[in-house]
Amino acid sequence: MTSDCKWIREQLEMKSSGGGLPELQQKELQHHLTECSACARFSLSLAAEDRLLGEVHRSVDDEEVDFQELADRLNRKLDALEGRRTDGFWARVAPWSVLALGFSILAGLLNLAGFDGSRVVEQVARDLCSPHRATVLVGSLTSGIVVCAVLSWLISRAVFRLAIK
Amino acid sequence: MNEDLVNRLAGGDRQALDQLFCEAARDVYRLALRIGRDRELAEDVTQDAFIRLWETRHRLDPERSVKGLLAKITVNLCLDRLRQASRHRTADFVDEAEMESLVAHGPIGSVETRSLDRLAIDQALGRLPVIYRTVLALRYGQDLSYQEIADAVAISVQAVALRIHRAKQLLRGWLDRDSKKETS
Repeated sequence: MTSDCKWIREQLEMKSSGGGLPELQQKELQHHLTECSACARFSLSLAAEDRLLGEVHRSVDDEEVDFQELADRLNRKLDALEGRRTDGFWARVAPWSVLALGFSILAGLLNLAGFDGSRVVEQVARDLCSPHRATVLVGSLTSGIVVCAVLSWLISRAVFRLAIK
Repeated sequence: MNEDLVNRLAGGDRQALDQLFCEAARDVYRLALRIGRDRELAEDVTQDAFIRLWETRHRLDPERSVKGLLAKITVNLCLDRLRQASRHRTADFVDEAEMESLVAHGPIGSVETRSLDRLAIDQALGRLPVIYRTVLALRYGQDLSYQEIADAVAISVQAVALRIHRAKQLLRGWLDRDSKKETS
């Protein structure tokens, strides 16, 4: 083994692990391997090691895995995730918002007609909104509706008073 | 092929995801099993890897390989799971003295260790710290380049080379030591 052998073996190790070598070093390596039988054997051993590691890594036993079942499970999970995203928010909020808006309009109309019970209807509209205070977004939406209801009540009341005068 | 698939995925085409699953699920499962060494974990990670890919489809780059991205997602999911389970904490670092004692061993395929069977190598792989197991699995199981491994594990190319080198040294040392014990 010459003094070059250590360096050559380091280069061989790097090459076998997939690290690229410049063309000049490649030529130097090839030249050394034709002259040094020990390094040539080392090179063959490295190649055998790589082959073995490749075989072991590729020989994972996946016979028992049902990939079709995995695919079905994946699709079900994606369906559920997408369904939750699209339906979740609007499905819960929209009907209550529409109902509350309807009640607030009704409250305004009843007030215009001089019906004292409009306050009760307005209160129902407020109550409808209360279960959705959990999130800021829903909270702001419902408070917007309540504000609309109160405003419509105030405006209709003012219009009614003006009409009396 | 890659570009077309990525464009379809980015456009929300679920059939493209099904197609990718058919082509790549086995590789993802094998990689997860190699890193985690647990079948249940590997199945969960395989499923979650495709879900994560689907969720991040809008940020997919047609220039980059989907295979590399899936490998990256799989590695991250595996490491997260292992971290949560704290299974690999004690095995993350190898004693420097042990490393020194293993340096002098020749390749696994050398004359002295030729009789080693695959089972012994597989068991030795299981003893490796997860950081070394991961780079070997990406290199030998997925045939990824150093650059692709560096991207997947978020380390430099030099660090990849060093980890592969150290992993091999450990394997050689353990296998050599075990075979000597058996013969004596």
